[in-house]
Amino acid sequence: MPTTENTAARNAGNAGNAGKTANVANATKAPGVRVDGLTVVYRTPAGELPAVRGIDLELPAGTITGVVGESGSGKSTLALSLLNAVQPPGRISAGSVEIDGLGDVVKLSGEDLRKARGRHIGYVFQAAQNSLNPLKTVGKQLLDLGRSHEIEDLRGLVRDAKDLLGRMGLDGARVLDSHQHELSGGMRQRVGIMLALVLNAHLVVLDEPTTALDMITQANILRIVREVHAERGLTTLVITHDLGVVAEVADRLAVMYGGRLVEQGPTRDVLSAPRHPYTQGLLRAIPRLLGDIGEARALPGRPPTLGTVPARGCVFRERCALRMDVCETEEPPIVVRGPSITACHAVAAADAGTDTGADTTAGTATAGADAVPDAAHPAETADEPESAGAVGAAGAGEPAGVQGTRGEQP
Amino acid sequence: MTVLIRRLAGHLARGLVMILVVTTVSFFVIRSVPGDPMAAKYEKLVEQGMSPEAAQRAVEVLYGFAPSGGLWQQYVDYMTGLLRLDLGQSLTVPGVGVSTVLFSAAKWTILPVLAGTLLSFLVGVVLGVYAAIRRSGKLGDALAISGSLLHGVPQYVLALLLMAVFTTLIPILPAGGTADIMYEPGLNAGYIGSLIQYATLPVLTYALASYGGWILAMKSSVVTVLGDDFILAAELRGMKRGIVFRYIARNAILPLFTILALSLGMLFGGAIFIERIFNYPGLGLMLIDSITNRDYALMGGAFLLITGAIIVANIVADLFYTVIDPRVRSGEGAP
Repeated sequence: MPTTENTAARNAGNAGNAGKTANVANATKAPGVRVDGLTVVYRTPAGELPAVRGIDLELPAGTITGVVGESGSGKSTLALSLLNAVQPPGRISAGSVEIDGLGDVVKLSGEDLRKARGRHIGYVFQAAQNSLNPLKTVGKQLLDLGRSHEIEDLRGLVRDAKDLLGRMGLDGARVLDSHQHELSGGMRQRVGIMLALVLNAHLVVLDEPTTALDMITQANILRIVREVHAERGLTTLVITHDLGVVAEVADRLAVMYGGRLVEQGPTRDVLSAPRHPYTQGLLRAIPRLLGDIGEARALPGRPPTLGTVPARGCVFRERCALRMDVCETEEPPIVVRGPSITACHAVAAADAGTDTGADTTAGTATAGADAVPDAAHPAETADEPESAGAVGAAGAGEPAGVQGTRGEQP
Repeated sequence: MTVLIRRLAGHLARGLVMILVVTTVSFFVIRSVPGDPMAAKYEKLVEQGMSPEAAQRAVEVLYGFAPSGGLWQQYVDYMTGLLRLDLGQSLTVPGVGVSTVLFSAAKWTILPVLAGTLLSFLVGVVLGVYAAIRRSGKLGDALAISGSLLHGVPQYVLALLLMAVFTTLIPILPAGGTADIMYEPGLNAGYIGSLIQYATLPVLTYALASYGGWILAMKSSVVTVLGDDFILAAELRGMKRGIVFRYIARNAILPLFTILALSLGMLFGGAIFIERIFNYPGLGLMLIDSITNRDYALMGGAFLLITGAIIVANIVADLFYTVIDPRVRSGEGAP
């Protein structure tokens, strides 16, 4: 009975201590997600080319994980894979996506898959501005959604939707009575978030939730994402090209390049002490609010496309300053240090040389699980506008200058 | 509602101006066409050995009036007549009003062409959706190719082909006319059955000839909508297939309604080839005859009817849009 659960969670949240509610909810609701060896290929005239290759990623229950990468790095494909919704000519060719309570999503199909979408996994669409049927009011589409998932208490559903919209600063009744063209971009985005949550999904995937929104709306949306995450006890995956977004909301950060995960770990560790040369390059490319614009240094070269990504060895080697011979032929080893994981020959060599005690294994990347920050972490991040502002100054791989004004916090 | 009324008023005003312009232009164009029915009759009578005076009188008696006054005077007379909804007298069928002739021809055009248009619209739209969804499969290809082929074959070739097949190879349908003369015209089963039997081939021809356009238009419209973000979004929200299908169909069919309304307006132009081949006394045949006979009044009336129908169709299409498309309905205030 989603209605009562919603209400319970909301009441508790309103009572004051959002963080604590989240913890309580996490224990019962939020599913953990384990992506294992995920490979997605696209059929092209040149044969099937991998857009995402051998991804191992864990989304610990109750956390916000951010995935950053440039356009074409495969991050949206990864997001769609969580719903087993890779669009033709693409297909998941290997690997599994285990979601607590659902099992391996890759093996789901037909009605089971359809029911999982929306009900268990909420998806906030990349172009949420266009994610509504232009001919129907939001309310009618909400009812369509309810009927699709056999919700009997449609009145309760509408009530929940109004509450959620109100929670996000909108007039619920008015929005439900509106058509898409009567809503602004930020409002549509919030409607998208509402539709992803209203069925009480506890795994939420946000694909570029703030792209194409202005800075103030973006800040609002991110605040809403954080609050709703904490309040409802969700497991959240945020896909973005904007390191600032990740810095603001994510507990854990995964960096994608050329369809590979090159580095992952707690957001603050990765941002303050990046180990992979790509992550380091990304952070060096961000112009600071204070200081010379010339200090920001762009990565040389350009990211690989589906056709140019190397089939063997390290995908980043063409642009890497630490390139070695072994990068041409051997897959980068998985280097685990504390809660962070890096896939790089140079990092492995450095660790071996200094013998810092880090494990260098070729195993799967599940080591991060026990080092996951607690649920209070999002609040912590929010309390630090300074750090967020500093790294939030640019989108990775995007022309950086325009975003320099980003200083405001919700 | 006020938006609707304001739109309607604007349309009507524009429509009236349009009708005025078209009538004026067609009046002068028609009369500058070489040839003159009364002069032709007069010359014929003189050739037959009648004296010029007697011939002149005979022509006057035949048509019931003597041509008089300049072109300008005729124009004023014609327009004043129009204001009284008087289209004048037919010249080829002396003594019969133009509106009577138009009406008797219109009944043989409107029903068959309407039936043909709606039939091809329905079939084309449904198969168009299918062709779009299965566009990478064999059946989708076959449907699209059938559309292109039928779209490319001229109406009269189709008409002759169907006629050859259904009246000669498999003689199950009559080759021409409107109904069997053995039945008394009226509301009796035999006559109506015969009407339907005789109308089958013209309707079928018309439907097949326009089906290609519908299936191709609908297919491309559906393919466009399928690529729209909100369809993927609906699937990712786990919407039922039926609901997603309705989202697709309703959005894709919108642009086709304009084409449908316009082609219903064109219907008053008749289907000349089909009417000629099946000897169906509709508007198209009537128009051709009136032009050959230089029947000014009838030509003018027919043009007026066609113009009026297209203007009305445009208005209907536009008002229909305000009903089915909320983006048009609200008109103002969109962010």
